[in-house]
Amino acid sequence: MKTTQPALLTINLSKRFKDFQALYPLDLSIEPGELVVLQGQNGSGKTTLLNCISYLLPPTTGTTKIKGFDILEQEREARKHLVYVPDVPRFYLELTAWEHLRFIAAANNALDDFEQRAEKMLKDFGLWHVREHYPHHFSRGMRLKLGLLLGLIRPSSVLLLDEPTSALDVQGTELLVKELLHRKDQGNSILLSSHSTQLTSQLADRTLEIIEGRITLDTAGISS
Amino acid sequence: MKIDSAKLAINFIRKRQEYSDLRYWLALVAYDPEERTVSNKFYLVYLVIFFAIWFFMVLIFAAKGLLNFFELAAPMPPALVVSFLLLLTFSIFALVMLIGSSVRSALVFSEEDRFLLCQQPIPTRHLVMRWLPLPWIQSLTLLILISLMLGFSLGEITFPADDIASYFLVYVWFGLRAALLAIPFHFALFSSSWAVGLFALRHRGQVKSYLPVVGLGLLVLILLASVVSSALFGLGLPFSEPFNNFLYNLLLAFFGQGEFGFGLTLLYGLILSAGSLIWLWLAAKDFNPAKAAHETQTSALLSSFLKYGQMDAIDEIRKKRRLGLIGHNQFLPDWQNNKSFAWKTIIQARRTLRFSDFYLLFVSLLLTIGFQFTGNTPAGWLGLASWIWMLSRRLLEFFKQDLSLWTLTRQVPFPMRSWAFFDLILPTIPHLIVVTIGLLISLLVFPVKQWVFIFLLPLSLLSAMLQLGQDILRKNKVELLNLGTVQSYGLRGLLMALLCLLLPLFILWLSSSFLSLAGSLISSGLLFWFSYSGLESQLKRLQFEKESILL
Repeated sequence: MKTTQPALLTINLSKRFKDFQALYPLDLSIEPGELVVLQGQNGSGKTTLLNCISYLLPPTTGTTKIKGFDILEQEREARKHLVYVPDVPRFYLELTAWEHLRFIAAANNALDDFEQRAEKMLKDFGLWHVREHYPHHFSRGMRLKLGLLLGLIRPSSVLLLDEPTSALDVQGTELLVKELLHRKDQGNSILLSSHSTQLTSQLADRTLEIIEGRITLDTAGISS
Repeated sequence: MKIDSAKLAINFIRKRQEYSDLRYWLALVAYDPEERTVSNKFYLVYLVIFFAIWFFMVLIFAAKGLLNFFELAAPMPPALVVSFLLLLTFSIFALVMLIGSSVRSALVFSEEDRFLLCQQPIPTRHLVMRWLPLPWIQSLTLLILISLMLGFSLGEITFPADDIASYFLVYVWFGLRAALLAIPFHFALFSSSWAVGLFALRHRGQVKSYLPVVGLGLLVLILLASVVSSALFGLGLPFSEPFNNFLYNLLLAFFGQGEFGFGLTLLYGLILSAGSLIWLWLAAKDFNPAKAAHETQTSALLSSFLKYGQMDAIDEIRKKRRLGLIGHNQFLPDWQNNKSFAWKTIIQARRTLRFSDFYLLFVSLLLTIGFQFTGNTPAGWLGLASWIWMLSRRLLEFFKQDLSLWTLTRQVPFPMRSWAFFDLILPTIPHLIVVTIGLLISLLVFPVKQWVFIFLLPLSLLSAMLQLGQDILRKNKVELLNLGTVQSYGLRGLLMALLCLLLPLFILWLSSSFLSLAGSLISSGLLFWFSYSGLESQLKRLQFEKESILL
């Protein structure tokens, strides 16, 4: 059922790197509880789009509204609802996996029941035994899992995930799918980029195809 | 046929590395071997002449310094003194090379070598022989300079100081002879140390891996002890007399004395070199390149970073080493929102605490006491300027790291300035405390009572850090921060930081009137405000700037 307030709304969002138009003006709307998969070849603009939506990379034009809050004008409120997990998460050298989770939870004012939640997540994703290890010793898959957990440990309404399964094992992928479906049922909106057709067919309410910075296919019939 | 192509591949790769290394050193003197113009050839000639003269002058200057040593060693003949010094130099070189090649592989492979070369079925003997020249020449350079200096120092004492021009060619020959003879002996030592290193690598983890290095090391020490005790105290080891005599004559030959001539000594050196090369060739049969590459990957990376001045990358590698695998923590306060950054910074500071931090605090203390003692003078300003430069590297570390984790720190639901100020001010607090203590101590102890420094110096230090932080923000772009790349501050930032530190002191220095005092305090306050608001505006620019660079 469509509500009046989209969870994520981009208005005329575009990105230009000097002479290169990486992303053409785009209006995109994602409803609460909707899971959208973004597909496209390498270099088509998926990561740029996610970066611009989250304003980690300021767009050349346009803006994003998260639960009605403009990310430029009401950044603090917008950020409370938005989580972006990059494809290559980075970590502090001096903090362990557990401390990373605690730091992100604390920064987002979400320390209530932290121990229980963190323990469950770490156990589910097979990182409990390395919770006191520094992430720079982790394998690529473990780093990606920790990056995902940093996004999932804090409250959010909109999740942006950049190729979240690219380095995950089968078990990790299944757990992530389960977690995303659970979040979707709770009303979270999810936009993720992926090359996996299996993941798309398993999860997507809607698929967007991006080619050379333009959305060329939207299974819901919305395109720029 | 297959072996030949493998040898060609090794030669090709190594040649490229040698050429790249040569180009690096030539680039330091602004010479490009790729440029084929006549002016460039003239420039090369100019460089050769310039550096030949420059090195000659520096070595002569150093050689003159050694003359005092001869006076101390009197009545020992100068030729014997330089021979001992040469023996000592060779012994130190030998021990350093032997220990170095035994602790980790003597052959150093880069990350690219590790994956592209060391995993191939390559002829190991050829690989070892082809890898030898570059590090050997690098090691030889220092020994050549020392030998030249020792030879010149003997020339200085042999020829009359007021008529040295008449003996110029002979004087130069004194240095050159020692340097030329040092080459084969150094090669013998170097290749022997590699042979020992290859043995140690093969048996790594076993006690016997250390046997050759311990044996040879002891031999070097016994030789040194035997020669020194025999020459100085007449206490030779049993049956060592013939050997000592041989060694004396060999060493004296480097300086044109003793029973051996130049040709015979050179021949001894060449025979020794050939013997050690054969030993290395034999030892290289079972060389395992992949094992060597695994051992040397970090040191290869460190030397590459060092070569190109990437000190932050070196710090990161060292920090990872120090941190180890696991971190335990009992400090878990319920600090939320922006206070979580304070918690994180405290953990980071605690885990990276090292001796140099205490040293920096000690410098801060001494400097402030010293500044109070000497008073507000230009000489003191120079000290303060170098102090800021010393502190900046460590104090800006957390700020830069938070910027490099842009995908994490940009997403927190509070203004970026809250954590930016935490990062810049928290690490500065211990220095602010130490500076204040230093100033209070000096106010009590010294007769010159400049109480105003208690306000000026801490505030100026804060302003300087904010200026440097501002400059880091100015120099960075979000596209690069998203990739985890952070630029450090530039010259402009450093100059602005120095201005914040020194301008109030300069105004105070102009006169001792109340006006000057007030001007100094007001300027200090204004500079702090200026630095604070500048940092804020740079933060806004960085977060919302739409203009991008093309990646």
